[in-house]
Amino acid sequence: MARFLLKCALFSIPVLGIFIFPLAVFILGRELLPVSAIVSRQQQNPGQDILYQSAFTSYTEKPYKLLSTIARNPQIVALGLSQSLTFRARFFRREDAFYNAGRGVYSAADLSHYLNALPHDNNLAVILFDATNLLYDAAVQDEHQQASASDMLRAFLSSGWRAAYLDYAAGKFSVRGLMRERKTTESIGLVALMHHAGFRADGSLSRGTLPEILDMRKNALPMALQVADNIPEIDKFSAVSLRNLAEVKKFLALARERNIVVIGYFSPYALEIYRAIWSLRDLHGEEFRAAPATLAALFERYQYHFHDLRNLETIGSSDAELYDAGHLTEKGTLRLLLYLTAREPALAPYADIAELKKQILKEPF
Amino acid sequence: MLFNSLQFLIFFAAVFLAYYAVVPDRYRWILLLAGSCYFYMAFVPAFILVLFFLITVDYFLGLSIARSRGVRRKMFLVGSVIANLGTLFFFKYFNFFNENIAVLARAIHWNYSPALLHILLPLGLSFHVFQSLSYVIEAYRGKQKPERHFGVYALYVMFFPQLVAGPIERPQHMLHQFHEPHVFDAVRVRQGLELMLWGFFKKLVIADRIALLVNHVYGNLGASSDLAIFLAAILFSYQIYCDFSGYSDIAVGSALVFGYDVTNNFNRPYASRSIAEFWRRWHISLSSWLRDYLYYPLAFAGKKVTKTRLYAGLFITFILIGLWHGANWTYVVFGSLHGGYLVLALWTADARKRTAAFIGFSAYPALLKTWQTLAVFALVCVSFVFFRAATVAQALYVLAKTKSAFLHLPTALTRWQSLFASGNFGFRSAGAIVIGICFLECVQYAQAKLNTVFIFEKKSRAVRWSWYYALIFGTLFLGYFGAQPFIYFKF
Repeated sequence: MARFLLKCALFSIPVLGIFIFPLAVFILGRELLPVSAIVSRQQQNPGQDILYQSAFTSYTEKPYKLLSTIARNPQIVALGLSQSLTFRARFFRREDAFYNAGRGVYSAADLSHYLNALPHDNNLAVILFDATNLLYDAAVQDEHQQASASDMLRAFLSSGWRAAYLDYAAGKFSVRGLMRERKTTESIGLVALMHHAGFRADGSLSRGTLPEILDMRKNALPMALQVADNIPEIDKFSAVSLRNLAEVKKFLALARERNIVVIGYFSPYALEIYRAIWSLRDLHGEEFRAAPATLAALFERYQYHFHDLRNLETIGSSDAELYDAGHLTEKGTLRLLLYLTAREPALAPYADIAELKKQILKEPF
Repeated sequence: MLFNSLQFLIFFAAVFLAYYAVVPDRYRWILLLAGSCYFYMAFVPAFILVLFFLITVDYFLGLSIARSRGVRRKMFLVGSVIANLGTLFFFKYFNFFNENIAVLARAIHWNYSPALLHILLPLGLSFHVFQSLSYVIEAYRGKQKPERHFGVYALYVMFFPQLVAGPIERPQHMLHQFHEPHVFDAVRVRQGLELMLWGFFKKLVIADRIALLVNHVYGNLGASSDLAIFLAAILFSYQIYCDFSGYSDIAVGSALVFGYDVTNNFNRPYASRSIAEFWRRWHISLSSWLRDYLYYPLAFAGKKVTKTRLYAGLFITFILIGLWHGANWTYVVFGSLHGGYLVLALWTADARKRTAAFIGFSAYPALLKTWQTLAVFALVCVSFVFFRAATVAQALYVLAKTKSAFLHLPTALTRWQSLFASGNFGFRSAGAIVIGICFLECVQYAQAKLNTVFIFEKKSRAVRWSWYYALIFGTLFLGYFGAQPFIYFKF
C-alpha cells in the first residue's frame, strides 16, 4: 500500500502543479482573506483608502456589507442595489455617521434579514432606501449570509483557479503589475489592486479604471437611447410582486418598531428610457406609472415617505450625470440627497443643504 | 454529501486510509457502516431514522421468514412489503394521491379538502425500499439465507457508494461480500479510481454543462427560442445519461476501491436498436428488479400465458417504472410511453420486418442499424421531455416547439445566437459539451469493442497515466463546478 500511495503522490505532482499559479495570484491579490479580516482592516484604517473588490467571488458582498455596518455602527445608511452605491460619507456632516450598505441586500426578502442581523443597541436612525429593482423579481433568499475563510477556499477550488488563468490570458492583470500594486496599496482583491475599483471603507463604490467602466461612461447616453428604442421589445417590467411588497412591509414594520426612519425612493433612469416606459400604453406602462403610488401608500402607513425620482429632472439632474442608463454619478447623487434633505426633516441632523449645494458645484461629474 | 463535492473527496480519502491502514479486517464493517451513516446524515440527519426503521423491520422479518412455513411465512413477507411500500407511499405518494382525489372530488361536486403533508422525501428512499424488498423476497423464495448479523444487514442497505441512487443490489450478489476479507489490491483500487474519474468527467463536463442550457430553457420556456427548446430536448437525454451513469460509475468505482463488486447500471443505452434493448442497457438494476419481481409474476404466473396478458403486464410494469421516479403525472406519461413503445414493438414486429425487407433495408444492415438506433434515440428523447418537464402541459409545449424547430431547422439555425442569450450558458459551455460528447462516444465505442470499461488496462504505464491525466485535466478545465446535485438523488 505504501508503494501505491507513493505512486499516487508522484502522479499528483502535475495535477497539483496547475494550482500553483492561481494560488499565488489569490495570495498576492489578497483574495483568500476572510470577510471579517477585510472588514476590520478597512474600518480600523478608514483614512487609508483601502478598497475591496474580489475578482473571483461575488457572494461575499452581503456578509461583507452586514459586518461592515456592524463594525462602523453608523447613524444613517443607504440601502438598495447598485444604484445606491454612489452615496459617499463626505456628503454628510460627519463622515463616520454614514455607511453605504448598497448591495448588502439582493432581494426584498433580505431587507428584514439585514435589519434583524444588526445588534439591538446600534446607532442606526435613518435608512435611505432605494427600492429600484427590488420589487419585481421573485424574492430570493441567498444562503451566504455568513462567508468564512472556507468559502474563499471553496471559491478558489471550484472555479476561481480557472478564472485566474483566463483573466491572466485575457490580459486583465500581470504578475509584475500585481507585485507593484501590492507595494503601494493595502487594497484587497485583484480588481481593487489592479483597477482601483471596489468598495471603500464608507461602503461606496469606486469605479476605478476598469476598461468596461470607462467605456460605459463614454457610451452612457448612446446606450440609454438604444435601450429606449428597444423598450417595446424588452421584457423589462413584470408586475410588482405581492410577495416582495409583503417583504417591504415587514421591513418597514421592523424599522418602525426600532424607531428607525426609512426614506424610500426610486432612483432616476436616463431620461429617454424613463419617457419611453412612461408612455407605454400596455400593462407594463400602467404598472410603471402606478408603482410609486402603491409604495407611497405603504410607506404612509408607517408615517414614512416615498419619493418617485425616476425622472432625472425631478432632482434637477440630466443625462450628463449618469454613469450608464440606470446609475447616477456622484454629482447626480448629491442632487438626489439635496432633494431628499429639503423634504425630509429626519435628514437635517446629518446633511447640510448649503454644504450639499457647494459640493454639487465642486463635483466634476 | 454530494459525490461532486470537496467534502466527499476528503471523506472518501479518510475512509480509504482508515480502511486499509488502520482498521483490522474483521472490524471494517463497522468503519463502513459508520462512514455510511455519516455520509447519509450529511444531507438531512433525521432521515436516518426512517432508514433505521426499515432496516430493523426487514432484518427481523427476514429471520422470521426463514424460520416459518406456509401461511405464516407469507404473512411475514406481506408485512415487510406493507412496511416498505407503506413508508414509500407515505413520503412519496401521499400528497399526489390526495391531490388527485381532490380533483376527482371536485369533478363530482364533492366537497373534499385534502390533508397535505409538508415533509421532505428522504434521500434515495425508492432505492432503499427496492433493495430491502429484494432481500425479503429472495429470503421468501429461499434463494437467500437470512442475514443474522444486524450490522452487516444494515451495511447491505446503507453501503455509502450505492446508498442514495443505487445501483439496486440483490442480496445474493452483495451480502456475502461483506463477510469476505478484503486485502489491499492495487489493481482494483486503481481501476476503482479510474472509474470514479470517468464518472466525474461525465457528470461535471457533460451533464452539468448541459444543465446550464436545459435548466435555463425549462425555467424560461416562454422566452426561449424554438432552437433552444429543440436543443434542450435533445441534450437532456445526454444530461440525464451522463448524470446518472456518471453517478453509477463513481458508485461502482468507489465500491471497487474498497474491494466490493457492485452491479454496473448502464451499458451504452443510446446504441440500442430497440426500446426493449434500451431497457436492458439503461438503469439495469431497476429494470431487472421490476422484470423479476413484477413483470414475470404478472405475465407468467398461472397456467395460461396469453399475448394480452403479456402486453398488459408490460404496460403496468412501465407505468410503475414511471411512478417509481416520482409522484407526478409527467412520470406516469414517461412510463406509459415506454410501455406503449414496447407493446407496439411486439405487436408490429413481423410487419416491420416485412416492411424493411420490402423497402430493401434488410440488404443494408449498417443502414438499418443506424436507422433503428436513431429512431430509438428519438423516441427516448420524446419520453425524456415528460421526465424533465414540470407538468404535462409544459412537456406538450416543448414537444410542439421542438417539432416546429425540426420542421423549420434552417430558419431556426439562423437564430443560433439565442442559445447564448441568457443564463450562464456560453460559448465555453457549448464547446465543452461538444468536446465532451465526442470524447464520450469514442471512449464508449472503444469500451464496447474491447468489452471492458478499462480500455487502457493492458497498455504501458505511460499510456495509462496519460489517459488518467487526460481525464483529470479535461474535467478540471472543461467541467462546471457549481456542485449541482445528481438528478436521481431526488428519487
